Formats: sequence, C-alpha cells, structure tokens
Amino acid sequence: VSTAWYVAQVVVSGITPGATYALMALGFVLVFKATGVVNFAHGEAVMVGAYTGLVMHSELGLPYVPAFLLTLVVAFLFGLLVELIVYRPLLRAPVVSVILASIALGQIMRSAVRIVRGDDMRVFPPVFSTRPVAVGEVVITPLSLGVVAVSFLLMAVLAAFFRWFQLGKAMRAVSENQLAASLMGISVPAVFSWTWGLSSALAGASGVLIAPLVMISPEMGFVAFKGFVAAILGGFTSIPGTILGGLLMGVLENLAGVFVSTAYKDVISFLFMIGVLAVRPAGLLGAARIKKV
Amino acid sequence: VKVAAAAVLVLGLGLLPLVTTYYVTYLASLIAISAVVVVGLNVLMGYAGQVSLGQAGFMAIGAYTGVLLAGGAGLPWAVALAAGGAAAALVGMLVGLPTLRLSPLYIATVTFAFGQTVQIVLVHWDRVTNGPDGLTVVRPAVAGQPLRGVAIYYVILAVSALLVLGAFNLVGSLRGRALMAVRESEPASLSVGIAVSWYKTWAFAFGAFYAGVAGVLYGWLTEFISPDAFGFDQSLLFLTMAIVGGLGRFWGALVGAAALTLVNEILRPAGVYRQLVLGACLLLAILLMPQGAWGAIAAGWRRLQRRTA
Repeated sequence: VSTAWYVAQVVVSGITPGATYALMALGFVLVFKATGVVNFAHGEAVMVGAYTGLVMHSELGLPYVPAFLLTLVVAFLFGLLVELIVYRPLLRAPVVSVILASIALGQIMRSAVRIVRGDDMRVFPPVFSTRPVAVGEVVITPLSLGVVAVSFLLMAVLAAFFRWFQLGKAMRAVSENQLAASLMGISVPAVFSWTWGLSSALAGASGVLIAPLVMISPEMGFVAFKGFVAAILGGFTSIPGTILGGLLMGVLENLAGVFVSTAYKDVISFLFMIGVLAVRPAGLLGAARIKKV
Repeated sequence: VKVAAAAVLVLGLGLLPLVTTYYVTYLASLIAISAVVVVGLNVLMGYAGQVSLGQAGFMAIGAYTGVLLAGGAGLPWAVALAAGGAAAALVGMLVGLPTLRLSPLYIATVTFAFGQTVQIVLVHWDRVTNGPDGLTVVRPAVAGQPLRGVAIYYVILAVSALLVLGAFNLVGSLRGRALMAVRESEPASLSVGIAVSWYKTWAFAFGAFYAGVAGVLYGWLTEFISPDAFGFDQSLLFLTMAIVGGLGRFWGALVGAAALTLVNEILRPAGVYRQLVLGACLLLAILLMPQGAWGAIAAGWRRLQRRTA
C-alpha cells in the first residue's frame, strides 16, 4: 500500500468520529443561538437518548422507526421538563451559574442512569450496514457515511429553520435581545421551552445514531465535550463552521493517533483548541464579536 | 465576637486529637486541605470572576512535584512543599494566559481540557509518575523519623491556616479590590489604570499555587497518590464547595469545604449515590442559594440583629 493511500485511509477513518462530534456540536449551537447559554448536560441528554432507544428497540421489541420516533418524543418532553425546573429560574443569572447548573444536571443524569442501569456497556444494532466498502484502496463503512449524511441533513434543516421559520427567527430575536423580543410580542418563555425541547430531541436522535459507533454506557456523554470543542473551532454560531470543526477534529485526532501517539491524541486536540482560541477567539469561521460596555 | 469565635476555633482544632479518634483528625486534615484549594478557587472565581473546571489538575501537579522532589530527589520537605506550589502556579499562569481574551464559557472549556490533559499525562508518563498505579509518599521527617498520626495533622493545620490567613489579607488589600474591579467591569478597570491581563493571569497563578500546596499536603496525609484522586469529579467537588459556601464570600469557602468534605466522606460507601447527592447539592445551591451558605447565614444574622434591636 502506498503512503498516499495510507494517509487517505487515516483521514477517511477520522471522518466517522468527526461526524459524531459535528452532530454533538449542532446540539450546543442550537441552544446557544437561541438562549446564549451552553448546555454542558448535552452529552448526558445524548446518553439518555441512546438508552431510551435501547429500551424501546432492543428490550420492548419495537421496530426501528417507531422506536426512533418515540425516543424523539420522550426526549422532547424531557427537555421541556428540564427547562422548567432548572433553566427557567436561571433566566437572569450570570453565565457561570448556568454553565455550572448544566454540569450539575449532567452529573445527576449520569449517576441516575448508573444507579438504574449499572455500568455495563451495551451494544445497539446499527441503522446502516457496518460492512466495509472499498473505494480505491481506502475502506469505509456505510454506517459512517450514513452518520455524516445525517449530520449534513440536520445541518441544512437547522440552517433553514433559523432562516425561514417563524420559531427559528423568534429564537434568534430572543438571543439578540430578550427585552426587545418580548416587546415585539414574542413570548420569551415559550421560545425557551421550544429551544430546550428541540435540543433535547436532537440529542435523542444523536444518541440513537451514534449508539452503534460508540458503546452505550453512562459515561458515553463525555464524547460531547469533543463536540463542544468542535463548536468552538467552528465559531459557535456558524452552523457550517460547526460541521467543519467536527470533521477537522476527527481527522486531526486520527492523524495524531497514527503519526504521533495514541495515548496523547486527546491532548493534541485540546492543544489545537487552545491554540485556535488564543489566536482566533471567535473560532475558525466565526465573526469577531465586539464587546460593548 | 469575632475574636472569641477565632479563639474557640483554634483551641478546638488544637485539642481535637486529644478527645477524638484518628479518623476524626484525618477528616479534619482533609477539610483543611480542601479549604486551601477552595479559598484559592474562591479568589479566582469569586473575586476575579474567572472560572476553573480543572482545579484538581493543579493539585495533581503540586502533589507529584512534591513527591518526586522529596522522595526521588531527596530534597527537604519544606522545599518540596514550596516547589509543589510553585510548579502549579507556573502552570496556572500558562493556563491563564490563553484565557485572557476569552469569555467565562471558553475559560471553563480550556480549564476542563487542562484537567483532562493532566490526567492523561499522569497515566501515560509512567516512567516518572508510575502510571495508574500511583506513587507512595514519604511523609516529612523530623530528626530522621517520619511524622506519624497526630503530628502530620498539626503540620497540615498550620500550613493551611497560614495560607487561609494569607488569602484573607490579600482579599482586603488593594490587590484584592483590583481583582473585584476586574470582575465587575474590565473596561472600567482598564480606564482607572488596573492592569486587567496581569490581574487575571495572577489570579490563575494564585488559585493554582493554593491547589498545588494542597496537593503536597494531601500526599502527606494519605501517603499515596494516583491519577484517580485528581480527576474531573474532584475538580467538580471543589467547585461545588466554592458555590455552596458562596462565591466571593471569604469564610463561605471554609463552610463549603467543611460541609462537602463531610458529605463526600460519609457517603463514600454509598457508591454512585454519592455522585447523585453531590450533583444535587450543586444544582440546589445554584437554584436556591445564589449567595451560597455564607450569604444565607449573613442574611439570617442581619435579620436577627434587626429583630433584637
């Protein structure tokens, strides 16, 4: 095998985790765009989504599509509930409080699932085939292509949603200026409920999608941190930037794992993030925001 | 009242080993160590308005530096103690530097990534750190005899008390007020001639120094350190202590450290339920006591005084 093909294989293999990161990142961006806060419990919401899917499909024996849709509904309702209990009272609280509240919530969800389901890893039947397909001398599984395709689809849907839909526009208005938005007749609490519900549903979908790629365990939510880094690299509000950031992270990690050190590949991606933040605090594709006094 | 309270506290802590079991002095030492970390964290978060999700990483750097210098290189233990703090402070400064231009959200991310990085390095750099198996710590020796039992409690108590008083003086000083000015408004601070970047970096180094020294003390107490003791859970625990005690409330840090160290140790046999309770403590503190326990106590005290007056 020639070196060029080998490098190509390493890059292509990085796309699969990269697509997962991008999918996670979209969840962060959705909430951030609408509410201006970051939900560090997103990974845990993904984890709960994966478990919900597992229960519906593998344990209750529902066919794939109803199980998937039911998971979305459950996740949506869960998001509404969390917004009502945790985030609504913190509407006017400082950013740090909201960040910490979401971290606390993540810990509660993680330990609750560990108490109920134990620490075992679970496998989940994949949506797309995992039998590798060869392109030239590069091998790829339809599953990873599927996850990439779905990420791009969701990206397009979200972009369209924020641009053309009434609710999406309302969300943008609320994130811009809550007072002005409510004066224009937008119900800020309603927009918040919708945002958290939708982001939770997105997390549920992501959970079911990535479940075949990563083992289902109470700790699987930590993968979302990579998604968060991807969102930062992308500039946080830019949806295409987010996807790019996710794929870049996946490829970079894979390259670092193969050519530098497997043990330190996470360190390398962290250093890369810190480097980008030091040089371009607004992310690779993000526009610089000027802070007003 | 204040002098009397301080006297009772000093006397009580001093006589504690005489009236209780070793386990109680162990808990008290642990509280003192956590208090040092949380006081440092409170300066960083409560006074300077930054955030750190990787405080246990600084603690690890201090602990490992101390062990390697005292055990491996055979340096005197006081040097190891100072070096542990200094090494952590240096790294703290380096972590603080790239966060200068960043919002709290990104600082949270960078410090979290830092904590994870420390974990990964500790596990994989096994020639130096002995990997996940950890290192045995040799306690400081006086006249060739390592300190045992109660003696180490007094050492830890003395060092912690010194550090807490140091921080207390800092907070009341010009420098402490400059930190608070930075927290309230960076542009305004700049306009009155406060070097914002310097103070933010300095606050990071300060918090890291405290965590580093606490790490060395922790090694002395437990006589064994491993990467497990300095993970994200531990960072989160320190954060919970700071929040529950009350950010920006100096004595709240001590209340938070004491309360949550006890909760954490008592619930140790409860396994996963411990994480659930700690998470709930953090969430409830944010939702119900935005000023922390110390804020709640202070408000209650004022109400009481008004009623009696």
